[in-house]
Amino acid sequence: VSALLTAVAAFLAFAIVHVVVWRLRRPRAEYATLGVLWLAVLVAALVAVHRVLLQANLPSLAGVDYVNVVMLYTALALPYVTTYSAVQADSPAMSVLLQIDGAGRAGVTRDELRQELNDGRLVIPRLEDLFRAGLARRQGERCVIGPRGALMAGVHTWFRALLRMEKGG
Amino acid sequence: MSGLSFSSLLGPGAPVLGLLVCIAAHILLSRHARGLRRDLAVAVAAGVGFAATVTAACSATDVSDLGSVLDGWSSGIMWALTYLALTYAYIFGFFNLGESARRIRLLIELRAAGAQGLTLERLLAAYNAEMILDARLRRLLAAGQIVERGGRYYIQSRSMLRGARALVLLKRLYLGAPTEFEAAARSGRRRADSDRIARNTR
Repeated sequence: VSALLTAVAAFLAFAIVHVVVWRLRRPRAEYATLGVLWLAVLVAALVAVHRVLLQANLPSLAGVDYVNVVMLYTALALPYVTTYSAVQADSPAMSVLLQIDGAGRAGVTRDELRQELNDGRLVIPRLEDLFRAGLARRQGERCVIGPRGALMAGVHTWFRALLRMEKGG
Repeated sequence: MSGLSFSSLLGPGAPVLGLLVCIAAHILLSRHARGLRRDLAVAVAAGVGFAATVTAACSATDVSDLGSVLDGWSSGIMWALTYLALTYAYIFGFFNLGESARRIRLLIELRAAGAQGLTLERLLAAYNAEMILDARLRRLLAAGQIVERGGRYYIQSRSMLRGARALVLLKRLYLGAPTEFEAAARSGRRRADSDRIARNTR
């Protein structure tokens, strides 16, 4: 039970620290910072639970319990970060729904959606993300993929081919 | 720290095994059951993976070793939660990225262009807002979330709209603004980045 509570409490602490840090100052390298926070909170939680159990004269967690804590904490952090990416970047589908809903009974035409959801809104910001993350770079007038970007694109291309699915996006 | 042996790790390893079974089932269904809807294939694969997790956890667990009934339930809940979280991460953090993420699509276009890369104009010819909007409208219509009448779009189901509103609340919590653009405008970041990209990439 201690292992389950430790993992859930550590995950909640991670989410709270994330909100606090982001509201104080949102870092430019968001996902790298999230990785550092993930590790820092995990180490702090493991040290804290070890000390608390020691001070309360309770049996310390077994090795397998530590493995369970790390597994569950990491597993919870992964979907959390996945969900955060939908918070960090406006989703086109969500933007479409909100715009249609905002128009109420009048509805919207495709052209009205198009005026709002243009390249400057849907494509350029994501290209900026790639530059900022070092996955691609500007080279004169051209956009060029970096080694990490090529690896990421290669993995997804390979996996889509394995699923026999067409290019996404 | 004590009691760490290979056999003791089989229980915590069950969710990972379940995830691998889920991915394998997803690949098999995608390749060999072409008529099956994509969301249904994912759901079936997730179910098969969960069954594998439960089977592996049960066969790896010596009930007499678990201590109290509470400890048994606690382990079961932990492994089930771990499997569900890992599967969510696979579906939404990996598979869906290839399905709909704009960053991945841009990377794929840039990778296909090779070392010489692409000008912004060529990149936008290969992938642009028009295509993104068309794909989203198609998916939302197919999923019954919106309906088209007389050339105008209306909300039909509110399920995804609720999700969109929840995301707006989360944006307010994390970014302090309802959209990424308002958040960036407040910090001055987006304007500076856009100016730089226009200067250097055209």
